Amino acid sequence: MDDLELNLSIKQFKKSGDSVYFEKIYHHFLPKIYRFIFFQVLNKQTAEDLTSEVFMKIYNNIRGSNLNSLTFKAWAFKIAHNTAIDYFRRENKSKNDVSFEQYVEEYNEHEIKDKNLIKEEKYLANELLLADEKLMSLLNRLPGEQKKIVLLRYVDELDYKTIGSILNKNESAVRTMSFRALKYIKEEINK
Amino acid sequence: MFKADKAKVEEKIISKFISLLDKGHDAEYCFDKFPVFKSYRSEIGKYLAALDKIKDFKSVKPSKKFEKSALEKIYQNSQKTEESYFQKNMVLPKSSKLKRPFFKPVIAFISTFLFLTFSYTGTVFASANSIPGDILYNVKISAENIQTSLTPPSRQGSLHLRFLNRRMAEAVIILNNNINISDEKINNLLDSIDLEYKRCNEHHYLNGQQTETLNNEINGIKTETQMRMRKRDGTGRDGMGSNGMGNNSGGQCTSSTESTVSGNNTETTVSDNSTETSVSGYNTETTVSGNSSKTSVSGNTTESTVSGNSTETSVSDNSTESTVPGNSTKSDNSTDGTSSNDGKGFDYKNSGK
Repeated sequence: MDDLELNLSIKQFKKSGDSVYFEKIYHHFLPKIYRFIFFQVLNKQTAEDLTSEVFMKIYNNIRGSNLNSLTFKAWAFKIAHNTAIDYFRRENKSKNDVSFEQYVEEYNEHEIKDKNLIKEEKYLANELLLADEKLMSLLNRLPGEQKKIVLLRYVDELDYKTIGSILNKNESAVRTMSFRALKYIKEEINK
Repeated sequence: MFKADKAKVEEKIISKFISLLDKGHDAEYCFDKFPVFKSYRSEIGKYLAALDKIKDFKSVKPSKKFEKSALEKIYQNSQKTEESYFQKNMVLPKSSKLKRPFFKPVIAFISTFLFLTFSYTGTVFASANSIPGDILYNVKISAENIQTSLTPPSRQGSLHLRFLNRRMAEAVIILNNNINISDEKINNLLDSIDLEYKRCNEHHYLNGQQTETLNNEINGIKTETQMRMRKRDGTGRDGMGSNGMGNNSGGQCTSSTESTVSGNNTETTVSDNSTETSVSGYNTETTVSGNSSKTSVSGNTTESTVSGNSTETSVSDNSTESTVPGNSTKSDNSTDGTSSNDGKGFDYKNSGK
C-alpha cells in the first residue's frame, strides 16, 4: 500500500465508516505494529494482546482525527509505543523502588540473559522463522531506544522525522542513534 | 593522522554514504558519483551486509489466525463502545445520519433563508416611520406592494385605507416640520394619496360619512401643500412649512396666524394674539391662551382648552370636549357666523382680537 492509497483509505473510512477501508489499513499496518511491539516485550501472546489493543484504539479514534498518510504512520506507531510503555508500567507495579527507565533497560539487557538467553533466542528465532539465530541476540543486546530506531528505520523504513515524533526525540539524535546501532550490528556480525 | 581521528573521518564518510542511500540512491551510483567512497568500499560493504541482515526481521509476522480473530475482536468491541457512549451521553455517535454530508447544504440553505428573512423584516420595521426623501422610504413602499399582492381581495379595502392614512400622515409630517423636499416627491405623494383613495372607493370600503371626511382632509392637505409650494416659488425656496399661511379667504392676520394640518395627532399651543386653524384626521388637542380665535375641523375627536378672551368653533364628526374658563364663546357641532365647514374644503378663519 503506497501513501496515496493509504490516504484514500483513511479518507473513505472517515467519510463512510465502511469497514472495507479500515481492513485495508489494518492488513497493511498489522505486521509493522506487531513487530514493533514483539521486539519490545519478546513474548508472542503479550505482543498479540497489545497489538489488538493498539488497533482498537486506532479504530475508535481514527474518525475523530485529522490525519493523512504521513501523520497516520506516526500516530499509529505512537499509540503502539505508548501501549508498550503502559504495559511495562503495569508490569513494574510490584517493583516501585526501581524507576521505569531502569526497569525497561533491565528487562531488555539483563533479565533475558538470566533466563538462559541463548535458549530463548533460539526458540524465538525458530518461532519467527528467522534464518540467522544470531540476529535475534544482536537486536536484544541493543539499548531499548536503539532497538526501536533500528526496527522503525531499517525494517519499517520510516523517515528520521517520523521516528523522532514517535519517540519524542529530534531528527539529528535519531540519525546518530541509528548509525550507532548499525555500526554495533556490523561489528557483531563481523566478529 | 591519529588513529582516533581516522576512525572519526571514516565514520563521517560512511554516515554520509548511508544518508545518500536513505535518499533513494543506488550504492553503485554513489561509488561512481563520489570517488571518495571508493577507498572505504570494503568497510561500506560490511555496513550494507548488516543492513541486509536487519531486513530479515521483515519476516516476523503475526499468525493468520491472530490476524482474523483480532479484527473480529475490534468490531465487537467498537459496537459495545458506541452503544455505551450513546447511552452515557445521550448524544448521537459519529456515524449518525445527521453528520452525513447530505445535511450540510440543507443546513446552509435554512440558515441563509432565515438570515435573509430576518434582515428584510428588520429593514421593513425600521422603514415604518420613513417619509418621502428618506433612504428607507422605497423599502416601505415595496413592503406595502408585497402586502397588497398577498392580501385577499376581501381585505384590500381596509388595507388601502390604512395606506391612505399613512400617506396623509407623511404629508402632515412634511408640512408640520417644514421639511424641504423636491416638488416631484411632493407631487408623487399627492398622487399616491389620490391613488389610495381611489382604490378604497373601488373596493367599496368607505361609507358616505367617511368619504366626506376623507375628502375634506385630502383637499385640506392638497390646498395647504399647493399654497406652500406657490409661496416657496415666489419667495425663493425658504422652506415649505413656514408659519403664517392662514391668509386664505380674505381674512386678515393681526399678530400671528398659525395653521395646522395633521393626519393623526396634533397638539398645538398658541399664545397671545393669534389665529389658529386646525384640520385634523383623528385627534386634535389645542390650547389657546390670550386673545385668540380658533377654528377646528376634525375627523374624530377635538379637545380644546381656551383661556382668556377667545372665540372657538369646532366642527367634528364624533366628539368634542372643551374646557373654557374666563370669557369665551364655544360652539360644538355647529356652524355659526364665525366658522363654516361646507364639506368641500376647509375654511380658514382669521380674526384678530
